Amino acid sequence: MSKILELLKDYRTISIIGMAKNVGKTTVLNYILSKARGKYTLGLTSIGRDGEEYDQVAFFPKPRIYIAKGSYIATAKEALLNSDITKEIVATTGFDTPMGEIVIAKALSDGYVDLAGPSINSEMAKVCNLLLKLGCDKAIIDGALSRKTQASPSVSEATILATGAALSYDMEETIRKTAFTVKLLSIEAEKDKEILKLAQNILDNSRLGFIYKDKRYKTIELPTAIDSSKEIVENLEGATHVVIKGVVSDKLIEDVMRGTDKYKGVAFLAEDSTKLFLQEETFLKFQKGGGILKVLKPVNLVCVTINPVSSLNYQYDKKEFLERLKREISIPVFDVMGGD
Amino acid sequence: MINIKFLTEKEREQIGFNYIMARLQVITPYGKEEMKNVKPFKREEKEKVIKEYDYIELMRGSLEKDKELFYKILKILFKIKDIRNSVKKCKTGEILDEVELYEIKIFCLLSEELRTFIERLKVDIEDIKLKSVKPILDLLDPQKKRIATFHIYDEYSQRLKEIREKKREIERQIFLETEKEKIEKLKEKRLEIVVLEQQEELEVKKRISKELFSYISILEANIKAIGRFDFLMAKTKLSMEYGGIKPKINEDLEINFTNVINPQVSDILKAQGKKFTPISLKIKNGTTVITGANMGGKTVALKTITLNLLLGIMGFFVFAEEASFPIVDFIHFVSEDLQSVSRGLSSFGAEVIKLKEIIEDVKKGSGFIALDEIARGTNPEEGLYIVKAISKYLNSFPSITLLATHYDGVVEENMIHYQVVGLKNVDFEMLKQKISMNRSNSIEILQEYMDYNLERVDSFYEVPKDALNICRILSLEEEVIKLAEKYYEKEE
Repeated sequence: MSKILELLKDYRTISIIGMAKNVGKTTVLNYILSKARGKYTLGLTSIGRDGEEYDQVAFFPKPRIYIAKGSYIATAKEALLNSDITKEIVATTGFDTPMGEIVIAKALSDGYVDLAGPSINSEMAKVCNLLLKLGCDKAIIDGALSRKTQASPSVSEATILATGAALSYDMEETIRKTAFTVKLLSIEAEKDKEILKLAQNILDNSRLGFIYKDKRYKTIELPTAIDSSKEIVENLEGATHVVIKGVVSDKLIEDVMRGTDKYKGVAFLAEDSTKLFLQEETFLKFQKGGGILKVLKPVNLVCVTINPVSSLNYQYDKKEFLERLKREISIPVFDVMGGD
Repeated sequence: MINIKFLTEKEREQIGFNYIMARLQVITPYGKEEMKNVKPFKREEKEKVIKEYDYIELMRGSLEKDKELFYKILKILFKIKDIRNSVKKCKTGEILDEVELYEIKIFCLLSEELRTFIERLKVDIEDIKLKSVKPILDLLDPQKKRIATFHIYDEYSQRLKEIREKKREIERQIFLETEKEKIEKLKEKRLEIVVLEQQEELEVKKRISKELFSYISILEANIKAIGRFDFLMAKTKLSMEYGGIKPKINEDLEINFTNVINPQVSDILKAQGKKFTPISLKIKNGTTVITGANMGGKTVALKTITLNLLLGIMGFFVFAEEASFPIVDFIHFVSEDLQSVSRGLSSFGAEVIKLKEIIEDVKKGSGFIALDEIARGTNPEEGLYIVKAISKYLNSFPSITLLATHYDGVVEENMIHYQVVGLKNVDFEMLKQKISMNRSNSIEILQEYMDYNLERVDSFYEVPKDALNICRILSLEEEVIKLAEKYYEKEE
């Protein structure tokens, strides 16, 4: 794991996302914090949490985040006042959360902090910028349960995925699910500059659009693209690309496949891979049927961390877990418990 | 709450008042509060409304002289946040937390900056003068660094300083320790110190909050002054954007407007590449009747007069070349949306209820009443009688009634009469030919030639035949026109 910092050295905004609860996100974060001490000034925040704190598994103390003097945090006021660092208030943001306004504070001492940042991506991007502007070398976004929006390239330049035994009793399943998430997150980006430009035009004005062979494009007025299979089926003739704003769901892809076979060879473009909410089965079916799934902006997944211990009193064979996952995915894998 | 003596929310929307409010570039929460509470001045407040006009004039002069200074002021205004909740908390004796103290400190830093800038404006406006907040800054900035951050400084308490030194020492030990067990022990010890630190910080916050309470009137005065300044500046900029002028306040019940416009309608027309025809009129107590064919802009004229009068008595500049009016006790505007005209009797019923309200008001005070095509939903004969009765009745009260109707024969000798010029001066043959060449745009062409000016009509006047002329121009069946002409002859 000592190489993590090395992997992150070129990035200014870094997000940590987790496959499930208790897969060691906080351990990873604390590790980075301890290694960065004296090297970087860090700014910390987290994506708004969904009550994670309140339904955590009993008897399994959740690790808290311990930061170094001189670090900055962006967190809701209530969470800030729960933090035991000596705190200097440096800015307020005007972004409100159920736990109060997001406030930026500098740690005048070491200590434990409670992070509850904004839950809207655009606000998160602004908060990170503010942290960097205030003098942080890097802004790190801690993840919340079941959320990966902070990995969006519009928010963070690099992403760490945490996984572990907490995901499933069955190591096989954990490995398969993790490998698929990695595959989905690092899905291929569209490279044709002309297509990218047309797609951006479409996204600027609407939620669904089609690019045709002769590079004409057309947009469809919709309140959301999530149930737009009918419109996709109707306009697919002659299209080379379908541009979809927002979430791409199983239902959407399956409805398209049921409605037409014209999707063969057509590239479906999502904004970025955090917008893909697809089961492995759907994804494979779509690919086998000749469909192509791409994104406009790639997520930069730099590594996967694993926690072989589950809070439910079982654990995997550390070495086997690490080795097998390494075989399945092509990016670095680190064990958060062990030395490597 | 809107005082409905000065139009309901819906009526304010209709005349374009809400449009104006939305165009006001109020920046701070305090300016927004001022804007929300804006209301017409009362008759006995003549001096006050005139003072308000003077303020706008002063601001405008100074703004035109030094735009850069205003730009700097604007930048400060954008940074000002709402501290009213903290002020309220402080006043009820609650303890303010670090974030609230931080916000008050920032407010004070900005307030000081703003104070010097406003002084540099050299305008003699008492309301916008800020008080010095130095004692508050000294309290919240014991290190006197005047930096825009805040924490519970060591300077507040020797005890706190000592606790924190201990805390730092233990944290240093934790950092250097490698054995997990020892780290846990040290962290437990640290926790004990953290508790002490928080207790002492609370004591300090209690003390600061209490001391702050003694300066609270300074904060409140500056909040008010910033709100006033922000709102005045917004009014000033609005007047510059739409060519507003300083009106005169009449003692008599007389309203004079020269080339007055309605910014909302004007902006809509501009977007269509058309121009608003400014309106001029001079009316007094009693009933004034505006006649003219449909499409003639009577409704716009009523909206424009009502809007500018309302703005004027609220202390805004008005959008005209010249204007004078009295401070009125009430303003009514009755105009049915075209959509609801088809509802016929039910909309007429609503009008009657409104008229009852108006009659109650004219008995008690002096106001302004704009009536747009009332009784339009009834049959024409009855409609005419009712309009005649209303205009005659209102004519005798010390209020100013402006009534638009397309009925003829409403005007009596002792009433003022304006007429939309309409198509009166147009070369019909030319227009007819133009339209015949471009039938699909006939209505637009017609509108283009329609003269929306109001002209004062003497007691003897010829009934305008705009309706008939429109039929001719749009080539209605020849025979129908001939039949109509016969009826016109009979009437005369």
